[in-house]
Formats: sequence, structure tokens, C-alpha cells
Amino acid sequence: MKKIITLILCLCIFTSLFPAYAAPAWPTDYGLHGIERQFRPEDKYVSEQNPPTFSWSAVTGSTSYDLIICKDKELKEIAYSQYGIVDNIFGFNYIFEPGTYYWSVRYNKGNTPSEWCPARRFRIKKNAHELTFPPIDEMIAGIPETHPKIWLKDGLDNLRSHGETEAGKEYIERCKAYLDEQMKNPIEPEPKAENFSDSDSLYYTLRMDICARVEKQMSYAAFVYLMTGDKKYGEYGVDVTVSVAKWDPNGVTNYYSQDQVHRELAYVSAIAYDWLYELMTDEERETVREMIRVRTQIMADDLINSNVSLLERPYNSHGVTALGYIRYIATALLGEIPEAEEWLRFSLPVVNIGDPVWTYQDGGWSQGTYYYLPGGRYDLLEQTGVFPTSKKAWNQNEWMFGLYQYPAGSVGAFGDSSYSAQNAGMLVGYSRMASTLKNGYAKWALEELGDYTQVENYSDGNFPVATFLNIINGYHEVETKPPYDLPKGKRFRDIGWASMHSDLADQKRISLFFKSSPFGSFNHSHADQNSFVIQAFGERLAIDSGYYAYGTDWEHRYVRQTFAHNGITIDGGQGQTINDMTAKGYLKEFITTSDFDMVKGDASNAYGGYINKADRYIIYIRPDIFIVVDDLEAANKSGAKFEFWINGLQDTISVYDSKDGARVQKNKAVLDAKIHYPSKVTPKYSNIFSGADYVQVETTASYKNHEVQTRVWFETEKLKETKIVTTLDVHRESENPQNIKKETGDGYIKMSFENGAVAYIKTDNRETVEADNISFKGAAYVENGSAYMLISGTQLIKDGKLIHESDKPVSASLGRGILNISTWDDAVIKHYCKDIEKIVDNEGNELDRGIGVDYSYDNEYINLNADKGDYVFIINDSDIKPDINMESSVPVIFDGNTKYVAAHQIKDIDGSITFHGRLGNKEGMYKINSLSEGMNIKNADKGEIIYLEENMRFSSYGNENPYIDISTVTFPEYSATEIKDHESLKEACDIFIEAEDFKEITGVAHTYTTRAFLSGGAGVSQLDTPQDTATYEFEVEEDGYYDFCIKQVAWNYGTKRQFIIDDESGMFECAYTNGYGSVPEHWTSIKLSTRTYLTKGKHTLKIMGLNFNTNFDWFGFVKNEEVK
Amino acid sequence: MKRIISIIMALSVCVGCIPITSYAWMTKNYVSYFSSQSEDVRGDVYLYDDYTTDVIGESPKNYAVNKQGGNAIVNYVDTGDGKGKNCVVITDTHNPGANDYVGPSATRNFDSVGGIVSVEFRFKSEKTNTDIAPFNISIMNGNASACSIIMPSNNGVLCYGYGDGMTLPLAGDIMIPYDEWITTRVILDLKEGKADVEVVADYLKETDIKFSALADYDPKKGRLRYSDLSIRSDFNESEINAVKFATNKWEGKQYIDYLIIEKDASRLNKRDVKGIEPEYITFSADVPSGKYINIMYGNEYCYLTDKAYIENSTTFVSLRDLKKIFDISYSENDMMIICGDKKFSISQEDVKTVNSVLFVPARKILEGLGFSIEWIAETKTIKAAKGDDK
Repeated sequence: MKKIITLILCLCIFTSLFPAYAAPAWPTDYGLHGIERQFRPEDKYVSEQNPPTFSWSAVTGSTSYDLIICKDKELKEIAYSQYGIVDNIFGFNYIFEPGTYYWSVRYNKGNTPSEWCPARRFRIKKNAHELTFPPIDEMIAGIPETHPKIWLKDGLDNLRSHGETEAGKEYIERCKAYLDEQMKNPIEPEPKAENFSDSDSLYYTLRMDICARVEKQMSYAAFVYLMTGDKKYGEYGVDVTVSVAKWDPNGVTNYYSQDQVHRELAYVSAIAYDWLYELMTDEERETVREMIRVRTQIMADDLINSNVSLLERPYNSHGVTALGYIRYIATALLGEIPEAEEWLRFSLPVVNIGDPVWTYQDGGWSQGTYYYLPGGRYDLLEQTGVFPTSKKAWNQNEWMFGLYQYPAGSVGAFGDSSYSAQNAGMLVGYSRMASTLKNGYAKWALEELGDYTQVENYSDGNFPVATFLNIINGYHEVETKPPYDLPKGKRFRDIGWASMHSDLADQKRISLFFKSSPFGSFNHSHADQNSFVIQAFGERLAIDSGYYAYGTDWEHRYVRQTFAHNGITIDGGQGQTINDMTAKGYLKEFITTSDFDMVKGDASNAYGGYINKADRYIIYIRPDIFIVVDDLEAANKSGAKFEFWINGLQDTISVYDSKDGARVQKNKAVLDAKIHYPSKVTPKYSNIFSGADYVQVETTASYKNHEVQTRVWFETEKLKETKIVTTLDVHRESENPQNIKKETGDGYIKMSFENGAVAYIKTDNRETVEADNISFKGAAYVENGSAYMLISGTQLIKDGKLIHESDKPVSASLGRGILNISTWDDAVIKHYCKDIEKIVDNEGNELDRGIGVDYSYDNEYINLNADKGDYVFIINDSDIKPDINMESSVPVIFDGNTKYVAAHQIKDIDGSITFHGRLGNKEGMYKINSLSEGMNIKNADKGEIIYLEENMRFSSYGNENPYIDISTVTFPEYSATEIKDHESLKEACDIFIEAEDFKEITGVAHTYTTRAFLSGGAGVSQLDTPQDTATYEFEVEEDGYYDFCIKQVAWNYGTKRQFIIDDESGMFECAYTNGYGSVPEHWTSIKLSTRTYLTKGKHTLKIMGLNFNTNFDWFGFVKNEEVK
Repeated sequence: MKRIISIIMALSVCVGCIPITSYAWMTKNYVSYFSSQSEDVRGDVYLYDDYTTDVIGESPKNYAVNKQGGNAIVNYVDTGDGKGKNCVVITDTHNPGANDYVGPSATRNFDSVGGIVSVEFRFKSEKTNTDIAPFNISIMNGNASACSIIMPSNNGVLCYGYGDGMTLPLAGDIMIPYDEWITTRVILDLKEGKADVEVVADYLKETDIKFSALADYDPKKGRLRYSDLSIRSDFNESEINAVKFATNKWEGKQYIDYLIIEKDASRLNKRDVKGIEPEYITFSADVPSGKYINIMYGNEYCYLTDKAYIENSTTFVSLRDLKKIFDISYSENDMMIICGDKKFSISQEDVKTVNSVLFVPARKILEGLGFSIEWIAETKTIKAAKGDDK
């Protein structure tokens, strides 16, 4: 007792001698320039997962962390906690009560804890996806101890039962057939280093050819053995796997020369090892195991054991993928090598809890559409019973990313290679999402992309037989659900992307994609915050320019630059910082309605300090006009010249002679961009790969023959601050641009649109705009007869009546009984809403803290105390979804005979009627005799002859009585006379057309310039299928009968092509040439006795592919004097 | 003429001061100072450093040398024509990594001079241990830079710099060739805040390098000219008093042959450089596109707030749109539409309600009120005129 008293006394003396202990502060800089692991959930986040996963930036030297989740922001009332966490991520093993929480973390260095980091608020959404994270010991204990284990969650008998279904049998037979062929060949020897001298040969030859083949052999053989027990295939699989195991892990397939090859060999071998285990001798097992161990340890040393591992710095795209593979490898080898458990203890939580690092829960993918790998394909651990990946909020939301940001009919948007169309990986992804989530929209998206066969045949070198999971999960049986009832716009809040579509279901839709992303310009992202991409009628109009060549000077100096995107620069093309995670944008507000959409982005952080303000608002006046408002302030007190950029494909941009706008036209799709403010802008243009300095940036060698994209930019005068107000009118060539009436007022411009919408845009920095009967404090205001929208404002008064008031800028719209609010911060809002009897959110929830909003109502105004977020409130049971259950039919007149084809009829909440259907036609050439107003079939115009694929889609807008009148077109064959001396025939031509001088080209046909000896130095290539067409306009000087002439190469006998001269159709057989045109001697010419009567004036010629391959140099017409 | 004479006088003085052998090199690449290019009017020599009287192995006279990471001394150098003379040689042996930009420098300070000032120098770069030998020649007032000629550390392309990260590649998209003498002249207009730049080098003669469309290129002379370039927007001085030759980041050797500063210089003759001309089109959207029904009244197109529609060949327009356009009123009790002194009675069958909005047959009512009506199909326009306005 004495001792204790002495100790207390000593302590008292000690504490009186020293000031009170101050806990170390939480650091503000982690020394990783923004690529440290982020705090999640971020402050004021709404979690769609219960509980959310937690992560924070690692603190150097910390030994553990304490995590608390409290009910109050003072962090006094702890609801949930975990102390002594070793890693900087954590997932709880139990469900939280839904509600609002504040979380914080502190680090410990030994026994010394830091202060708690600032509290971050999050709310668990009602009906959030429930997912708990078992302790690592529990997960490891759940992994079977015997082989086989991968995919065997429900046991081998169950797995094999899927092989007994018709689809399963067919799949296994395909695998066997492949293996039977492969078994005829010797086993692939180890590739020799000297054959792979550069990154292209390492990637395309070593990875995608040699190793992909070997991995396919291993996985197919192991799979067939697993499913059937057929030793013939199993033993072949053992032979291949053992052979690969003898390849030197430090040889040509080493981690540092081609990491994808290295990791895939290890991972596929591990699964083959698991499935073929019982067929292997002990020696073979040891050989394979050791190879896998060595290769995996090399990866682990880089990703797990390095000074800064993926825990601290997770933004390593290949690293994260490799760590995912390490999970599978370690699962396969657990209990056999000690390293396996170490790898699992690191990789399972880092991937299961910490992923996806390129987003969080929204289903998006900040690395861009090209790098988006549909996640459902890689849920091997779920099938093994280790972790239910598909229950994560991100996986649950993933189907929307493809549907909104990468829909069929559009190429992608943003990031490296964003111009790439969807590949088979998307088909497989949709099939997995459809089957795993039982999601009919994903099934519909899959069907829109087309060729189903790839769902089961797809192989990208990762794990070829993973496609069998599609059969297991039964994607065939999921009922298709078209997205007619989904909103036509969508924001992906974690990645800062948004899209606005005229119609999700129509592949010829008008789409605008917008980005302002907190993931900066790092890795596969470009310096394109606040930029947009527009695609319409199946064409790319305002594009992300450039071609993908990672890490090259070309990419750094052109592709990644802001001027190669549709954004804002200053003073000669100076844009945002490239390759920088801290060059962030923020997508702050977003609303989508049936009348207007809006999005606001803030890119001011992305410009390296020389722009103080860079807000961009895009207002969508549905269905075809966008207003872009840029609110800009230079950092320099003397101001800057601001530049507004639009990029287009080759030869697509022309500038108005009024100098205040430009037209982008690709085939029949047109974008008219007009600058309405400021009044003085200077247009500039480049048709080389350059910015405003006109210094041509050379492409990498592989893109030398790709088309050179063009751009126009509008430069303001030197100004300290300005607004730039631009309208983007998207229409078809056959439609006139809209007459937008502009009136300039005191501090604003007013624009009236043909559909009755009126927009008031603030053009200076006054607080309040007074215009007509409107007064508002905000960026803009739009209205039509049924709805209005205040854009980023605090007050709206109409006819003297207060309509909206808020303590922070918010965007708000009210129309058709729906109130939308979007606020970047917590806000107190008062909004005029008369006669509310009932109000719920769009999921039917009462307005309360559970959805983040308190409200009161005083018969006139609704008073909201709203958390940061987007809200849709439904007033008095108003319809918020279109009526989609109107099965209908549309009359189609085929060759004069009317038949009715089934169509979906949709009545939107604005009363507009849309039809979507399919013609029920056979593939072939058709003449469009007549279409009802608003009808779109492949953008065809009346009188046009076009190729229609089988059962062609059509869509009709705004017409309750649509119809289609088409007739089949025959192509009589004309005899062709070969004239080898094509130069003399060229000389004889009265009318001459260079093949590359087309007015329109479709499909994959394109100009090719690799044959300098051709007339004009170029020709047209790949005019091969009926979808590949080239259309020409030519002038005839004298009436008369003419014969059609062509200079061509065709290296298959029986190559035929179709043509249409004005209304006259025909077909001819090309002359066979002994080569594809690489040398002048290959080329020949033919003359057809078409005897076409051409009158003086303009005419059109259309050439279409049909079969085999051709290249064309020129076309011509020779007068036929023999015809009377 | 006076000016030319004064130049000749100045030259005479200059020539008198410099040993004749020391400027034989100048015939090789200089921009225009000693050339016979009649289009150039030169300023008065304000400062001329050719280092011929400097001591080899020591710092150049009148220069402040920072030796961090290397040194800047005078040495005897082959100046490109087989002959040699004293030049300043800045050697950077400091290669510490991506984030350390410090390197040796030599700064020529002089009495402040304003107006239009020409700064001309001849230099070459030599690669040592790194692929790029960055160089930055800044024209300054104290620590404030007006503009610079730079070879950035990330690509070694010869650029004009006018702000942080703001650069104009002067001689194409290529790294400058090492061991090639390059003469550069910056004519700085401190009143206008603009600069003209000239570059001359042998490697620029008759080359297929793709230059900026902003450049005025003379292939025979190997000369590029740029007019009216911006200077740094944060440079607020009206005079300059220093030229700083500095290396940074990577290793390399830089040679400076001479530095000439002229005051009262003249701007370059401007060429009308337009960049690349686009195809111009006449954009016309003076009439409605024809997508929506609209009304033309008083030669003005009026767009309808409520979407009008056609039913059985009759066009229905909302009553509130008609009210707005034609200043009419509607008496609901007796279903009477009034426009000035004209009245027109409508029947219940005429009125359609769509989403709580009243629609009425436009032609029937407007003609009933004395308007003449014409339908323009192409623009979907109901053209209305008062009876006496037809």
C-alpha cells in the first residue's frame, strides 16, 4: 500500500513538473503528392453499403490505429469502434443501425496515441446493401484444406451439374475441341528473350499470343478435368503446367519486363494446380508450387513488402490487379507453403475492403471507360466461398456505369483510349451483372451490344474459363428490361462524372458526358476536368482527341493536355496540370428531369494556381440543346485570355464567318456551337495535332496513318474575369439549326428556344439579376411552361413572389410535381410549393433525417434542412416515371404491303410519346420511301438507299402515329471489262473522283495513305461489308450516257461491290488482282457498261462493300457515245 | 536615316573596341545585327559582352556567378567556324533528382533600361551525363522575370517562356541539337508588354522540321520570327536590369558566345500570321428549324411555352401562349376571347385540356378575331397578321 501511495505521489510531482501531455496531431501531408490512400467515407458521404468500409491515409511510424464511429460530431458518444487496427483500412463484421454517424481515427506510436483526426460525417442510406467483413482468421479458416477448392463453394457435384445442362455441355465440348487441336502440337517451349526487343513485342506477341495460348491450354485442360474427370485432358494440363513451371521466373517472362505475363502465368498455374492436383506426382507438385511461390514472392516484394505498399499508396493500377491475383494464388496454395497465409493476410483485406480504389461505391470507374474492367468477371473468391464480392455497393451499382457512360451506340468517354468501342469484356461483364444481380437492365445492355456468342467464348488472357461462370449463374434466364423507366441522366458521385442522354434506349441518342473528378489527371486520367464529350446519332462530335500511347512524349504533350479535350485554357493553350492526382475537379451539383438537366463542375484546383475560378455549368434543354456557362477568373491581376475548346474528328470542323461559332459535322450528325457571351471572341483553328502554339506534336509510330483530328478554340480578350456562354445545338444534317433568340440585359443574357424554354444567364458578378418578371441570385435560371430550374443560386423571386431561398448556393427545379434539389454542402432551403398534401422522396421514403433532410411545411413553403446531396421529392403522388407498359405496333410498309410490327410505346411524364421497335426485316439494301415525322432508322433520310441489318431498330419521337415505308432494292449485276492500263482509263474519264474525296463514309471504311503512288497519294480501304459505305458528290458538265469506271485491287475471286448512282443501283464483280495493292503493279481498273444517263449538275455516287476485301484508288465516268 | 547613321557610328565605335579577329565568328549565325537585312532597324548598343578580354578560367567580368552544382567560367571555345574565342561556359554537374531545380548560373546585371530593348545572345548546349541539358535565359528586373528562352528539363525543346509552365516551342517539336550554335534575339517592348523573338541557326536552314504556324520562317537564312508574344503577366516593371543564364535539374554544359543589349530598338516588322485557317461557313439560323410549331406575329417568331400540337389537321395552341403573344383576354364564364374591340366566342368542343393547360384551335380563334393566318410548313410557323397588316 505504501508503495502505491509513493507511486501516486511521484506521479503527482512528475505531472506538476511538466505541462499537460499533448497528443501528436494528425498529419496533413503524407509525402505522396495525393496518391496516398484516401479517407473513406469522405465527410458528408451517404453510404449505400452497411456498414461502409473505412480507410485513411497511413501515418509513417504508426504501430496501430483506433477507429471510432460516433453519434455526435464531438465524438463523445461512441456507437461502434475498433482499437489496435494494424492496417489503414477496416471493415466491420456486423451491421450498423441505419442513420447518421461521425467517424474518426487516431494513430498509435507504441503506447502513444495521436489526437483524433477531424470527424467525418456519413449517413447510411435506407435499404443500403448489407455486407460484413469477417475477421481475417475466419476468412482463412473458411478456405478448404483439400484440392480442388477454387469455384467449389457448393461442392464438386453441384459444379458438375452445371456441366450437364445443354449450355454447359456445349461449353465443355468447345473446350475439348480446342484442346484436341492443341494436343496435336508440341508443348510451347520457353520463349527466348532475344525475340522480344520492345514493349510492343512483349505485350502483343509474348503476352497476348504465346502466354495467352499457354494459359488457355492450362485452364481449359484443368477445367475439363474438373468438370468431367477425363484424364486425357487432365494429363495434358499437367504437362503444360509443369512445362511452364520450368520457365525461368527471371527470364523473359519476368515481372519487371512484362508484369502482366508474369502475374498471369502464376495465377493461371495456381488454379490449374488446384484443379489438377490429384493427377500430379509429388515432384510435379513441387515444381509447380515452387514456380508459383517464386513468381508470387517477386510480386509480393513489390506490392506488399516494399517501404510504401499498396496499403499506403493504392493508386497502382497493375499493382491492384496483381494483388487480386495473389488472393487466388494464396487461396490455392494455403497450407502448403507458409508464404500463402502471409499473402492472404495482406491481400484479402486490402482487396476486399480497400478496393476499388479508383472509385468507392457509385459503380463508376475514374480511370476511364477503356480501363473499366467489369468487375463481375473476377469474383472467383465468391465462387470459392471466401468473400461475397458481388454484395459490395460498388458491384451492386456497377451496371449503371456501362448503361450511362458507355452505352451501346456510343464509344467511351474520358481517359486513355476513351475512343474505343465496347469490347467483348463488356458483354461478359453485363452477363455476370445480369446473372449475379438478377438485373434485367444489364441483360438489356448486353443484348444491345450484340453478339452473344462472345459471352461464353471470350478470353482476354486473364482466366479463359471464367466465362463458364456465366453459365453457372444463368444469364440466359434473366428477363430483359429496357431502361425506359430510368432517369435519362446520371451522376457518378465518387468519380465526378455525369451523363445526360436524350434517350437511354436509342442507340442514335444525343449524349453529353461531363467530368470533374477528384481523381485528378493521374495514371490513365487526363487534364480534362470540366470537359465534355458529345456523341449523337451514332457519331462522335465533340471528342476527346488523341490516341493512346502511355508514357510517351506524344501523350504528355498532346493527348493528356486540356486543349485536346473540350475544356478551358488560358493564354495560348495553358491548361490543367497533367499526371497529377491533386489536379482535382469537383462535380458539385447535378439534376436530371424530363425538361432540363444541369451539372456544375469546379476545376479551379486543376490549373496549378493560375486560374482562381473555373466553374462550368451545363444546362440541358431537352432534347437537343446544351448551354455551357463558364465562370472564370484569372489568378493574375492583369488578367488572361481565356480559351474555349472544341475538338473534332478529321475534317469535321468549320467556323462561322461571323466568327462567333463553329460547326462540327460528322456524316449526318451536326453540332452547332455558338458563343453568345462575351461578344468579342476570336476563333482559332488547328488541323494538326497541336495546341494554340501550332507546334505539331508527332504521334507515336503506330498512329502515323491515323486520321489527324482538328480543333477550334475561341479566345477572349485579356480579362481578369469573365463568363463564356455557349449553346451547343445538336441536330441531324437534314434539320436546320435552331433559331435561338438572344437578348442582352443588364448583367445577363436571355435566350429563348424554339421549344418554349427561356434561359437567363448571369454575365457579370452582381449578386442579383433582375430580368423581366424574374429576380434571382445565382448562375442562371431556366423555365418553360411546366418547369423551372434555378442553377446554383440562393434566391429566386418570380412576379414578386419568393420562390426559393437558401443559405448556400443550390440548384433547384420544380416541375410536373417533382422538386429536385442538389446541394454541395448542407443547406437550409425554403422553396415555394403550394398545396402539398403528401411529399416523399423518389424511393417512397418520408422526408426525415433518415434520408438526410428535416422539413416543415406551412401551406405555401417547404422548409428543408438538407444534408449535402441530391434529392428528388415527389409531391402529391405525381408520376415520376413514364408509362412504359404500353405495348403497341407500328405500321411498316414493305414493298407496298403494310404489316404491323410490335413496338414499345413510352409516354413520358411530359406527355411526349416515344416508340422503340424493330422492323422485322431481312438484312439488305432498302430504299426509304417515307418516314413519319420524328422517325429514325439509322439516321436515314427520305429517298435514301441504305443497308439495314436484320431486324433493324427504329425509334420515333413526338408522334403518336408513326409509320415506315420502305422497299427492297435490287442490284442488277453489270459486266466489267478489265483495263490494265488504268492510267489511260483515268485520262479518258470525263468525270473523275478520288476515292478519298468522299462526302460521307461509314463502317470501318477509311482513307488510307500508306500507298504514296496512288492517285492523290491516297485511297479508300476496308469497304468490305454492307455497313461500309462511301458516298461522293460529283459534278456533271454535260448531259449524256456514261459508263462507270473504277481503279481497284481485290485479292479474292468473286469479290463483288454494290453501288448507287443517284437512284440507280447496281453491282459488279471486281477484277482479281494478285496482291492487295502494296505495289503499283497490283492495281488494275475496270469499266462497267452501266450506260447511266447523267444530266448536267450535281449527282451522288455511293459504293458499298459486300464480300471479301478491296481497296479503291479512284472512280470515274466515261461518256458512252454509242448510246443514242 | 538618322538611326541608321547612329547604328553605323555605334558599330564603328564597337568595331574600334573589339579586335577584328574576334568577330569573324559573327558571320556564321547571328540574327541581324551585322547582317545586311535591310528590313531591320536596330537600336543603340547598350551593352556588348564578347568576353574576349576576360580571363580564361575565371568568372566572366560583370557577371554574378552562382556556383551551386557546377560553375560558370570563361574559356576558349571553338565558335563554329573552326576559329575560337572566349566564351562563358556554364557546367552543371549537379543531378540530384526530379524535384531539385538548382543549378549554376551567371547573371549579367546592368543599369536599368526601358522602352523597347533588344537582348541578343548566341549559345550552344552540350550533353554530358544526362539526355537533356536544360538551360534557361531570363530577362529580368531584379528577381522578376519578364520572359525567357528555355530548354525545359522535360523535353529539351527550344522554347520561349512567358509564365510558369507557359511556353511556346520556337523551333518545332524537337529537342535542340547539341553542339549547334543558336542565335536568339528577344525584342522586349516594355511599354506594350509584348515581345518579338528571332532565332537563327544552321540546323534550321531548309529543314523539314514542322514549325508553329505562328512562325515567320525564312528557310534560306534558317531564321524564325515570332511577333507580339506575351510576356509574363506578373511582370509589372517598366525596365529590365539583368539577363540570367542558368542551368537546372539535369547535367550539361552551356556555352555563351556573346550578349548584346540594345536600347531604343524597333519591333520586328509584323507578318500577318493567322495560324491555320479553317473552312468558313455562313451560319444561318434566322428562321425556326421546323422542329416546333411557332407563331410569327409582327415579323417576329414567337416560341410557345406549351408545346402546340396538331390533331385532325387542326393546330392547337395553349390559350396562355395566345394571350401572351396577341394581348388577348379570355372570359371563362361566357367562353369569350377578346382582342381589342374584337370578340370571339368559343365552344366547349374547341377547348382541350392537356396537363391542366387549356389548348384551343389557333386558326379558328385568330381568324375569328380578325387575323389573317398563313401556315409555313417548312418552319412550322403560324403566320398571323392583323387584317389591315396583310
